[in-house]
Formats: sequence, C-alpha cells, structure tokens
Amino acid sequence: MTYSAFSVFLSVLVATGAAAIDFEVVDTPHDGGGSLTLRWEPVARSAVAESVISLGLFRTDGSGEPRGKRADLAFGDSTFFDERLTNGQRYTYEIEAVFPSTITVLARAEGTPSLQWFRTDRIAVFFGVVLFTGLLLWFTYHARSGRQMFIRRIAGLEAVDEAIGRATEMGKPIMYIPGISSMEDVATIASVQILAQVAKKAGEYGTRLMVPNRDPIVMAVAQEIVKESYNQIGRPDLYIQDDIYYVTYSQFGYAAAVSGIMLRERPAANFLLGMFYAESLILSETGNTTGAIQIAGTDSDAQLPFFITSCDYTLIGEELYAASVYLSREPMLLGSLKAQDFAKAAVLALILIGTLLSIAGDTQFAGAFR
Amino acid sequence: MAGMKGLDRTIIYWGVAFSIVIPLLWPIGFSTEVTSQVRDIHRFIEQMPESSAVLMSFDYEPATIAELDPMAAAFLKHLFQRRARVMGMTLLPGGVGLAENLLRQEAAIAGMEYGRNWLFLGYIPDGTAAMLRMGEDVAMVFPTDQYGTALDSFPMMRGVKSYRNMGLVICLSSTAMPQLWAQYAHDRYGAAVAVGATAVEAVRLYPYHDSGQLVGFLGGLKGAAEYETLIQTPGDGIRGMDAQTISHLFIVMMVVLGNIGYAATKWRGRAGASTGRNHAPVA
Amino acid sequence: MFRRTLPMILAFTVGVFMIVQFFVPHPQLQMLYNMVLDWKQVVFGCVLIVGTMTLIRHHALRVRFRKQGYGYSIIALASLFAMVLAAIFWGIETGPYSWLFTNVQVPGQATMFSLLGFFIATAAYRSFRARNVTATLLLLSGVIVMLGRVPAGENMVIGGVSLADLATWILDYPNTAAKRGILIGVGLGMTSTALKIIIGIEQSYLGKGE
Repeated sequence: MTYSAFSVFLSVLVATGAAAIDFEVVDTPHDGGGSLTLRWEPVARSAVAESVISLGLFRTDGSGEPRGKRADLAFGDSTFFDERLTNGQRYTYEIEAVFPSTITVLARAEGTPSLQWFRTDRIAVFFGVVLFTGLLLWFTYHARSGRQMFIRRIAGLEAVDEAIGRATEMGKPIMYIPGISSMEDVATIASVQILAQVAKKAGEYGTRLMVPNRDPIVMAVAQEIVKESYNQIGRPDLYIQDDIYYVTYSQFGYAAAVSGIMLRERPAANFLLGMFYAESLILSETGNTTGAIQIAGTDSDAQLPFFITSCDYTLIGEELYAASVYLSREPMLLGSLKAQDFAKAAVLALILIGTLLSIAGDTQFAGAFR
Repeated sequence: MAGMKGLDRTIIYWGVAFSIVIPLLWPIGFSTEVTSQVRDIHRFIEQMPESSAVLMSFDYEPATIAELDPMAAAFLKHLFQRRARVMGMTLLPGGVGLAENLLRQEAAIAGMEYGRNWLFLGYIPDGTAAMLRMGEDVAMVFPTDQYGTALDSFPMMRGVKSYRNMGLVICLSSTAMPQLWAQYAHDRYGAAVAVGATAVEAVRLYPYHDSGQLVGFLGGLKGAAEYETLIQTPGDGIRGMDAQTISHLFIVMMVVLGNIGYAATKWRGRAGASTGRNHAPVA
Repeated sequence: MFRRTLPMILAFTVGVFMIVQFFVPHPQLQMLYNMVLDWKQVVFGCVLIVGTMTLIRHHALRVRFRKQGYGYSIIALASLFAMVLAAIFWGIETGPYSWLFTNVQVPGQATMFSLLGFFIATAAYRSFRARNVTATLLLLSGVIVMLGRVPAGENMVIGGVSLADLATWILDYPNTAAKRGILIGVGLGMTSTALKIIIGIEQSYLGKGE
C-alpha cells in the first residue's frame, strides 16, 4: 500500500494577529483511491479573532483548474474528506478566514490520492480466514478417507426422536419455528438444515409439521426443504404448502400470532431453533403452558436463559450449528466440527498469549488484532 | 410454605400488575445512578463539534415504545441542544410512524427547522444491505427524504456523504440491529456507534462496549432514566423507575418465597429427584 | 443442473467475491459489491410481496374450508385489507391509517411486549431455586442484578460494597466473560457454516439429505 502524505505547516497571519493552525492532508487510508483526508486542529473563534465572519476550505489542483471553494467550515470542525479526486494528482488546500475587510489564509497543505490494492488493516482477519479454511479443508479431506471422529452427546438432539414420537402418539402436530431472522443469518441457515432432518423424521412417522415464518425468504426456503425431505423418504403426499406459511414481519405481531396458534392447535412438540430476540420468552412460555415438549436452540446469548427456563432442552450457541451434522452424521461435515475445535484452541492460545504479553507491558501483539 | 411450590401463576401475574400500576398512579420519586455505558455516550455527544451530522435509526416497532421512546426522546433533546444535524431513518416498516412523530415532536420543542437541523429519510428494507451501502453513499440508499425531496437539496446534507462525514450513528432497537450497526458501520467503516436497546437485549452489548465497537449504550428504561438525569430533563424514563423498582422488589420477594417453599418441601423429605423437565412447579 | 449445480456455482462465486472485496478496496470491486447490495434490497422487496400473497392464501383457504378458528382468519384478512385501503385512499400521515396505527397497532404490540414482564416473573420464580451450589450462585447473582439495577437497590450496601457496584461488576465481568466465550464459539461456527456453503460441503439448505 502506498501512502502519500504531505504535511505542510504554514504560518501566514500577520495583520490580524491570529494564531496559525496545524493542518495536514493525507491520502485516505485503506480505500480505493480518489479520496484525501484533511485534518486540522479545531479553530476557536477567539483564537483567530473575534471579528472573523466565516471559515472556508479552498482547493487547487495541478491541472490548471481555477482555485475553488470546497466547503464552508464551522468553528470546531477538524476533519474533511474530499472525494471523487484523480489518483496521482497533487491537490493543494487552504483554510481561509474571512474578516470584515480582509481575507486571510490560516493554513495550507498538499496531498495526493492513491489506490490501495489490499486492506492492510485487515491482515489479521485475512490470516484467520486462510488458516481456518486450511483447517476445514484438511479435516474434511481426512473425514472423507473414512477416519472415525468422535462427537459428544447433545441431549437436545437425542430428544428430537422422542419429541416427534410423542406428537405422533398424541395425534397432534409439530411446530417448527426457524427463528425470526433472515436467511443471511447463519443461525437461520443452521435452523433450516435441522428442519430438513426434522421433516424427514416427521414424514417417517406421518406427523403433521407446521412452520410459521416471519421472513418471506425463509418461508420459501423452508417450503423447498420440507418438500424435498418428504420426497427423499418417498412421502411427497405429506407435503402441505399451506402448513409452511408467512405470518408477519412484525416481531411481536409474529409472537402474538404464533402464541395464538400454539393455544389453538396445541402442538405436542415445539422446536424453537434459530435467531430469537425479546419475543423468545413469550413463545417458549406459551409453549410451556400448553404442555408441549420443547427443544430450543439459539446463538443469541441474551435469549438462552429464557429458553433454559422454559424449554425441556436447549442447544447453546454453536451446538445449534453442529446440530445438522449431529443429526445427519455425514463424515465430511463431522470434519468441519473438528476444524472448529482446533480453531477455537488457536483462539484460546492467542488470548492467553495476548493476556500474558499485555500484563508484561507489551502493546504490539494486542494492537495487531485491532 | 410448601404450598408455594405449586402456586397458581395468575397470582404472580396479578402481583406484577399491581406492582407496576400502583407506583405509576402514586409516584414515589426514586432517583437513579448513572452507569459508565450511558455516561460515555453523553460525554461523546458533548465533545462532538457543534452541528455535527448524526444518523439516528429508529429500528423498533410499536411493541417496544415503552422502553425505547424515552431513550429516543432523550437523545434528540441532547442532540438538538448541541445543534447537531439529525437524520432520522428506520429499518422496520412499523418504525416509520414512531420515528416521524418523535422527530417532529422534539424538533418542535427545540425550535429546529426541517431540512436545516433535521430530516426524516424514511424506511428502507433489508437492514444489513442498507447499513453497508450507507458506508459508501447515503444518497444511494435514500436518494430522497420520506416526502420525496432530493437529499442534496437540503442545506444540512452539504458535506454529508457517508459515515465518514457523520459524528455519530445511533441505533435504537429491540433486536440484533445494534450488533449489526457495530459490525458494519463501525468495524467496516469506522463510524462511532451508540445504542439504545431494550433491557433484554442490552445484556449482550457489554462486550461490544468494552472492545470500543460501541461508544456506549442505554439499556432499558433505566438507561433512558440515566440519560434524562444527565441532560437534566426528566421524562418517561425517570417516571418509570418507580414502577420498575417496585416490580423488581416484588419478583425478588416471590423468588425468596419460592425458595422458602422449596426448602420447606425438601426439609420434609418430599422433594423428588429432578426430572430434567421444567414444567411442574408453577401451575 | 438448476436444482443443485447452478445454485452451488452461484454460492461459490458470490461467496468468494464477497471475501475478496472485503480485503481489496478497488473501486470496480466496490461497484460490484454495491450492485449486489442493491439487488439484495430489490429481491427482499419482491419477496415481501410473495410473503403477503402466501399470507392471504393461507387465511383465505382456512376461511374457505371453514377450518377450526377460521374466524381469526377473517379478522386477519379484514385488518390487512383495511390498512392497505386506508393507506391508499387517505395516505399514511393522517386519516384512518394513522388512527389505526396509533390506536390499534401501537397499544396491541406494546401489550404483547409487556407480557414479557409477567412471563419473566413466573420464569424467575420457577427457575431461581437454591438446588445446589451453582443454582444458588445463579439465584444470588439474579437477585443482586435485579436489585442493583433499580434505584431502591442502588443504595443498599452489603459488606461495604454497594449493590449497584456489585450488579455492575457481575454484568461487566462474569457476564461479559461468558458472553465472549459464547461469541467466540458462535463466530467460529458461523465462519465454518459459511465456508462449508461456499465450498459446497454443506448442501442441506438446497434440500439435500444424506
């Protein structure tokens, strides 16, 4: 990355007796070029002179264009970003003070914008992504070769069969709530992955599955997933599009509607898996009062206490992401869990090193991750 | 006391209702202490240059007005005191009416002029895309204000292109929007982000404040009361503190009674082994 | 081809592009990135229409076949059309839409949110039991934070330390530490899921099974 910074300090004021100011023009860092950052020490009216009328910023470039005003400045301003500039072109800026009878240049500085090809401020993230991708590919490759991998028992996922079986015995439906976030939320992606497994099991038992949605895109994906799952177990006849529907985009409107459905339809099993916010307790407590067996899971740490209190089983944080792997036991996906474990060990090691170095007075190590 | 274990939940509901309604009808006048998370925002706004541009996103719907409206009102009062140029917007369709009313109301009280001191950008769907896009160019997301006037025709928008030109971004929300604003507006574009969140969601903001991703945050009605204390303008936040205090005391009392009942049952040797299910204790 | 291969190629291409543009600030890449964001908003707007159509269909079918509780569906449909028509004929700033918003939607939704206060009370009563050492610690922390976060408790002092300071300490340290731990795990899980989708290892979002 090229930095071109010219810091020129100019003291010009003579007649008015006002103070000169520090002024610098630097190429805006980590951008695609065409921009300069102007910084100066804030000017107080009294420091310049009580009689000053206004402050202005002027620009001249080397292309022969006349000197032009870029902005009116307020007292107290200290930065300005000049954009849509030509890379490699040198620009000169002046801060002017207008007095009743005279105009005075307070400071002048020059700068040249340039294009950066790589965001060096994100170098730590870059290495993190490369290392993690490497780990993921390595363990996936090993998993393909048939090496057995251990995965600890997750009680909430062991209970999926029990919950669906209970609903089947009672002749009541299952309600699956994929959270209230959008498809770009990884918790929602994890949730629809689990939905695929739940739909297959529900299909095998011939139990009705209801999926009310808050996000229309999630609804479309859920419909596709349930349909495909039923197809895979040879029961396409079970698919009822009307059971996987959109409710409302309103957070508490959704909570009200789903609570109402719980009270009217009395599902025997409720799955609350995905991203939840303040409505989590309303949903889970309503389910609790209807006596349904409830399996919840979220990476929203603020909602975990509510689910733990009101639900029978709760998947905490990353257990939600591991759920589809756990239920499907696909070797390649199991490899990704192993990669996560190693990455976590690496993060913990870095935290430990950073803490020890910080205690010892080192600031560079921690600074590299800012 | 053992009977406490099977207490009908409607009794608790009635208790909560009374503990909220009575202090609202007959106020006690509790005052609150100010936490560092709230003080940091106040200090930041105080130190901002006068007439800084501030983007205020009303990312909440009618459901959470009890907690978030007092915060929004307190922020607006302070910003208008500091002569900041406030751009209101919302990422939720239900937030349009709320944001518009509150902006108009507070601007009228402070004598602020539309287009010069404040404006309302309106609603834009797909929050994350909008947050990211505004890091490049606000006018690409909101070419006009809510009423169809081009942004560049407003005097207050002169020199305001993206987060770079803003002194502060404020998000008021009951969902994960604050984290998204921190991750996108701050981490990606370096904007200073302050938050007003419901008490339920505020607990998750501590790590973001500690790491400097958030200037500070107001948590629940207490956060609003703290901010009102700092700007010395009592509002719904301070008024709500009585009800919140009494209801908390009621819940603590119920927890204590529940434990006495639990201990009594256990002492009599009637407590069964934990079933792993959470259903039974409250009828 | 269109059900599997094409979506996977798209996921890979867009995923890699998003990673590259995060590290390379070239204007052309940023322009493409902005285009992706624009399209995302357009798609979202269109899908909202699809969602509304599904909602209408869902309730219309319930009414048509007189399913249990179809009266609620009639109310849902009537409310939906009433708001739309009110907005079309009288605008959203004044008139019936604004009146309905202020006097029906606002108190209705606020009531739903306020239910949390009641549910939290019963949940706290049910779960805060001193069953063992860890449950007792949870109980004590809960009580300290509940009292320390309201004016009446802020001035209480235990062992020379004010309850407000204790509550702040619990929120600032044990709470933040636990949340950071969960956040690190969640962050890695998110990255892993995203990479699995980009690389094509994870396909269940396309409906693929074992």
